[in-house]
Amino acid sequence: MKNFIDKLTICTLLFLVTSFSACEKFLDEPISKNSSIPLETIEHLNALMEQYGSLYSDENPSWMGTDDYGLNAQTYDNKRGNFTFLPNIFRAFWDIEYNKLTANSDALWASGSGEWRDVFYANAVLENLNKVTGGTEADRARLKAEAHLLRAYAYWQLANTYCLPYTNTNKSEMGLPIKKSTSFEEDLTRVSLEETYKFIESDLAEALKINKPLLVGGKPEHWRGSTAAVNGFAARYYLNRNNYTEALKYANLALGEYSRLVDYNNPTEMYYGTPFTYSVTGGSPFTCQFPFTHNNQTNLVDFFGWKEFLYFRVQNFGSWFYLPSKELLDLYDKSNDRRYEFHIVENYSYYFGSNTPTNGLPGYIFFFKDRIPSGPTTAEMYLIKAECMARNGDINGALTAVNVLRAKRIRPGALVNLTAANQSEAITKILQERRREIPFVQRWFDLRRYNNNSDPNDDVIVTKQFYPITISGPDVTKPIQTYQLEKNSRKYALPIHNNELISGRGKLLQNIY
Amino acid sequence: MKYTFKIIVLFLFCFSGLLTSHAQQTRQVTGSVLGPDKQPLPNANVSVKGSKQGVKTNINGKYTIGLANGIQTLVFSYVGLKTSELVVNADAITANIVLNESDEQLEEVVVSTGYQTIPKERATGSFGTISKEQLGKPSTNISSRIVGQVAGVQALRMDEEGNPFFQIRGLSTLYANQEPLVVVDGFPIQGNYNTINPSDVETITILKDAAASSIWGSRAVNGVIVVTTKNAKKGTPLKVEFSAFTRIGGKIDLKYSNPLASSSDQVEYEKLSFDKWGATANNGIVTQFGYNMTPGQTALNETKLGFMSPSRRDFILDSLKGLNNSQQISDHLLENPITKQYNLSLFSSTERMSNALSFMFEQNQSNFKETFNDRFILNYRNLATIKKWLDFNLSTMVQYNKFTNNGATLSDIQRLAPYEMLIDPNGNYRSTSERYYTPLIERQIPTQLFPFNDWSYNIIRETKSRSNVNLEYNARLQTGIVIKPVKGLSIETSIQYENFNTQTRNFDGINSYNARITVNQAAFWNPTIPNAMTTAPIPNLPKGGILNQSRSQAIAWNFRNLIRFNKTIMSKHEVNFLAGTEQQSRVIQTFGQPTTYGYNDATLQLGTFPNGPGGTPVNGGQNGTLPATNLTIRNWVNQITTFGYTNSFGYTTDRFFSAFGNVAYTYDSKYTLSGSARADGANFVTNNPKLRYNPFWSVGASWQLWKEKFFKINFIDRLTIKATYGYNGNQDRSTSFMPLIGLGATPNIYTNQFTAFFSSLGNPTLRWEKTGTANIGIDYSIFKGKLFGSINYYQRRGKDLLAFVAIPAVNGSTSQFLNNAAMVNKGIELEIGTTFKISKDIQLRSNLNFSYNKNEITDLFLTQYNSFSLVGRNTASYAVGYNANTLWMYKYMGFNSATPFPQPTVLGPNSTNFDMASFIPGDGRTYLDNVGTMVAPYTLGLSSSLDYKAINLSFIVTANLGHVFQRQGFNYPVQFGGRVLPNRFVREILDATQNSKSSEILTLPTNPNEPRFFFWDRFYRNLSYLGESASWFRMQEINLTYTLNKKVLNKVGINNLKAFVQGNDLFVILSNKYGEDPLYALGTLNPRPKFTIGVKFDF
Repeated sequence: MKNFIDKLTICTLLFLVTSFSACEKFLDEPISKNSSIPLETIEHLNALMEQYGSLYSDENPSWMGTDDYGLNAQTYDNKRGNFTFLPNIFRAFWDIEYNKLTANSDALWASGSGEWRDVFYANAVLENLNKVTGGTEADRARLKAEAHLLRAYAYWQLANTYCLPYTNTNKSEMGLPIKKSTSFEEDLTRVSLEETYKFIESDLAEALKINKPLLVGGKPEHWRGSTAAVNGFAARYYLNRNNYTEALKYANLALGEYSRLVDYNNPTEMYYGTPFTYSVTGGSPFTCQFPFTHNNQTNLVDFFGWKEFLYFRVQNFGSWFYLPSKELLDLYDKSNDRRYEFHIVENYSYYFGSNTPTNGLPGYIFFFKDRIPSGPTTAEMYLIKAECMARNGDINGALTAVNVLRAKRIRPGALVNLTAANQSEAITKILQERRREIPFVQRWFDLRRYNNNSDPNDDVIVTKQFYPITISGPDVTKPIQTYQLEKNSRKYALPIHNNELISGRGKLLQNIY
Repeated sequence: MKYTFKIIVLFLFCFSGLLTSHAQQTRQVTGSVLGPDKQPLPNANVSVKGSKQGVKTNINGKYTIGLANGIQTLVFSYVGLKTSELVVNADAITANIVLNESDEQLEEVVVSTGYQTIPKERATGSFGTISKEQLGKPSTNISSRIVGQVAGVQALRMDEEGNPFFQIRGLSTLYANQEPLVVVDGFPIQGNYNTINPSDVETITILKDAAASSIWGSRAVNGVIVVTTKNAKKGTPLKVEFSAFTRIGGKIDLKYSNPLASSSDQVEYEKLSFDKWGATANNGIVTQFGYNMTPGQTALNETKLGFMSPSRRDFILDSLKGLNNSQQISDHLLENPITKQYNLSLFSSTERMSNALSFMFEQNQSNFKETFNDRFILNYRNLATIKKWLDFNLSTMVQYNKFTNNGATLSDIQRLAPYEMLIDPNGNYRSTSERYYTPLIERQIPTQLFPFNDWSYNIIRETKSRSNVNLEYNARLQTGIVIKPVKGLSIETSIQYENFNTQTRNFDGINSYNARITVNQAAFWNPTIPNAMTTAPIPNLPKGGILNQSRSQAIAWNFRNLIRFNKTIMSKHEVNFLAGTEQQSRVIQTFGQPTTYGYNDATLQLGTFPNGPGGTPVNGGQNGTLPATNLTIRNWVNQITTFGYTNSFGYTTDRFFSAFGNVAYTYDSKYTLSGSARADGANFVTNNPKLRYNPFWSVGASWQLWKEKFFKINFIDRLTIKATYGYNGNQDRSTSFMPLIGLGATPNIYTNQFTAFFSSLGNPTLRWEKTGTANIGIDYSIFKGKLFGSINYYQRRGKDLLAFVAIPAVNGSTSQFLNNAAMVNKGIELEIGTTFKISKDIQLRSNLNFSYNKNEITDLFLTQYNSFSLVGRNTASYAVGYNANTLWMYKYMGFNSATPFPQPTVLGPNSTNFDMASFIPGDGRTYLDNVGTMVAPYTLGLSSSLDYKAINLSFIVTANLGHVFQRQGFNYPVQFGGRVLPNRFVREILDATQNSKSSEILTLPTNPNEPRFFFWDRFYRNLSYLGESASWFRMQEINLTYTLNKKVLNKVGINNLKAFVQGNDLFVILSNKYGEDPLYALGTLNPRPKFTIGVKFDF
């Protein structure tokens, strides 16, 4: 019996020891060495900020509502199949009602590469900055400032797309929900516009503490935050707030660090890429000339190599057709403006099979067919500088600044330099230059500020001619009607997609129209 | 290492047990053993009950055995016959016996949960078992023996070999693992059924409800398939089993698997569609080299471009009509699939030790020439009683598989136009045109100046120019000790170690198109310079073969400790108790090697990148030249290119810790109560270790009603009522409370920095998926065992199921993988077995099973149900309140009256018809047709076996009923940068156009320039007139076995010899009139009838 008890004791002990020892540690083993891992080191945070692939794309739909977009009844009839994206048409005509029915959600607000995802990146860095191991204090400070820039940039885009312009009368209008962490539990309530802008400004203030040059070893690291990037964004921000003194200050700071412009007159800097020949119904084949930056769809070399970026951001449009309006086209000197030569591709619509000579429509082409620079660039800084000086009364300074840019854009000759007899003319000419230089991407934001600054001369009422829109698309059997976007229309705040209101479960409210 | 040494020592120690056998003798008893036919049985086992003593009968069925004094009991056994005992009186010196056929159904059936074996009678849970008769039939994959045998076990899909993917009692998870757990000899295994030698399998038990499977906790929600392997019966000196079979199947039915239009219809459609309906034009410029066209389209396009006269074109088109390549495809690319399997097993045991050794070799020729494999599996299993209180067991599996995949694939064949011949009239390989627009290559590229001047592609030549080999080296070792300190109590420690390795080596030889074209297209050549046609390209890759290699390794171990206690107290109280803990770890590593260029397999020499691997320094675009200082390299059409040169690695670890227990109490062998509990922990990423665990439990009860004294229904032999309830789980470790990231493996080529991405934004609801299952059932046997079986009703409610759930985008995403969905499955299962002796020589055995399942998603938060998602099937069509397998389709409404070109329409929201030029807005559920469920709610399985003397005829029929599928219709090919290959339904469409049937069936565009024709592919597959009943009856198998006369056999020393002929996948009866098998869509491989002949004998 004793023998038995001994055996039992030994076995039981063996059993217990082998079974329960260190099972917590046993389960602490990470499930993978390179995927599904928590944020643990400063290298992880840095690697997230290196993920430009998720961050560089701005799919802002608002440009379709501007007078730069040439979609009207006539261009639509030209080849309706090219404009089947219902939501785009609705936005182009400020149609709120059918937004709910659109099949695709809104790319700027609600896509995997949308602005709220950028906010998530920023918040992940900010909330883990003091938890992760490794790195110096300087590294942390740099990442912190960079994350604040990322968040400020995203909020600025969202506020200027989905909220009314920030003016004294609009202060208490709905702004955006404030997201300060990666938690899903934060309040979805849209705070006031004033609070939203305070949030953006506090982020901007943090971002301005950045201490990292744009150029590293002679190479611009424009996909990361830098002093030039933050100053460039600050210049844009204050211009948008109609604060010309501050805007000028930051534009100068940015240009002081980096002022490289691409010389469109230099054939090694700007030239045609691979041409494409399209057959023409009832005519001889037509060869479209594209800028060299058109060559690569997936290869980023031309985007990355674009020398004017202060902060690498690109407007993306999946339907590949930035159709310029006649008004925009008329602004260009077709024989002397190199921007017309390279970026306005005549008969681009042939690419979409709209290949009868009478149906040829031009396209605005920058990077491949779908992308245009949208982040702060040196060109934009010169324009901000010129506009601010002009608005502050320094006409000569303003013209000098804008002519620096024009020298790189206009064929050499007497036409390069703009002249102006008075302040108002100077402002008008600089604003026209601005529209020629950065069409589509800045126009919506510009319309909002022009209509709300103290200068009545720059105000714009956008009108468009189009068919009535029904649930199944434009009703081409009905007469063409006129759509008008009044100066202070509430339609300047784009509607939030219906899906978001559903998933917001009553907390997230729609704009009031 | 130390561990391995110990194993070897133990191993040797066990073998030594074979040599020790001794007993005291005091008297000689002799006798004879006869079979049911009263013929002597040679080599029958005779053993003394309660001792380790045993002998075998001689060739005349006689035996002599020494017995100790006193009354003794002899045990007689013979394979296939019922083991019988005979009491030998103290003074008896002879003992003769007749052994009868074993009657399986009346024998006590035991079920195995993997942890324990219990008599089915005492089990409270719902188990399914596969009969020995089924397991004895030839198969290359043991899973195929389960098909149609157990109610509620549905073969959801089957590959072209007929190997199934099972679903037990409906879908239990939306996104997590859906496969049943496979347990072999007590341990879940790595790898699949392929690592099991079908001839080794002794039993298969399927655990269906919570009480049966909750002992497997978090891994059991999809059900558990428990396999036990054979071991030597006690007292077998040496038994050798050998079996061999050959299975041959028909060649692929190209009419089914490649349902192309006839050559003349092909030409007709090419003419009809050429340059129409929004076709993109091939302008013949060099960048459009990849715009490949069929020879017919090419002729049309060449004429359009002015390179070919109309009369030449018409001559070519006419001659193409008369060609057909299917015979050449069949002769040069296809093969009759053949499997040859040989299996040798050795069994031997003494009272204290048993050994089983088996070796299987299998050769498979696939449906395609040059694609075949060899498999070897060696198994050894040992059980030893070292001391009265100490048992030892060991089993090993070693496997080597070699897969050679040089042959064509179905998609290679499907790329060919029906008239595109592979061999020209002179017997040479013809270059086919599915890789590029051939005239353009010939006209605009100096092909002769490129590294390889041969640009031709021919699939037959390709299959002979490559060597693609997969090797698998797998080993599994299980070992354990059982300590029995006191009767009824045992303590077990066991371990399983698995090491699985796979190597892949894909070599494209120097003659292969892949090697030639890769080298050519990588060479730098600028088509836009004036003298391009005389400028030789600059090679960027060495000339030679291309080699790609990768390997993976999975190492898993599983360490388990168990306490069992089984005791009958005062004859009325029976207690079975089991408790234990288990640790599991599995590490999977993958290794990818960079591509080797310029490789010569004969000399082992390889090339380097003559201009480096490329890479793109950020310095702007170049003007079509290759500056010396620029690292960027360009290819044959002057596009920037790079070559990968890095290794890749993967490393994942799965760990589990589990504690579990199970207790069953039976009173008076009538009333059984059972309960089990299990807690599983896994290596989730979490701050709070407690959250890693989740308890699962079950309770059950059974009542043997028929044993009650008051139970007096004459025709009922047995009646047991059972009820169980409990929880199983499922786990997915890809989420955590916090955001998780993945790391890019190499620095980004533009920034030269490492990047990371969010693999999960977080899952604040993180927990284990849980499914609660209630089961009520009865087991019955009536009319003296003539009918028996079971009836079960179940409800399975899954909650906290992981699903992509809508969240506000403000959080960084519009949908997140959260534990937030719920689903219910309800069902009924019915099994009826019968054994029927029709006459002395004729016996019929049958097993019919029937099951019904209804599935519904009861909770899932989505903001929108877009029609394009709903028709997308699978996860995209999950919707609350509907079956998870719902088939949604557009309701076709015919052409509208738009002027000048009517457009085809489908029904949209508000009863409005929408054309197919864009997606349809609104909630798809309100206007799409809910055609039905794609998974059969009703399944039937019938297996029957008829014995007549030495002949056994059996068959298996399965049926799936009540579901729907989307049949294939016309494929509306468009000339959109590629080849136009209409399928055979083109006739139907052309006829419908002619007969103005476009209100019933989608015909071709009315607008010759219809720009949105390409968009129709979002609709044409999903039009509701393509929704058909998917019901089918399938003749799964017919088997004819002849058992050779024992008298004849005994003379050559063989015990048992069976010869058999078996047919599989013989025919299927479909309820749709289009001849399309819902299990194998038209245009995919479907199994062809296969015939097996073989023998099986033992001695």
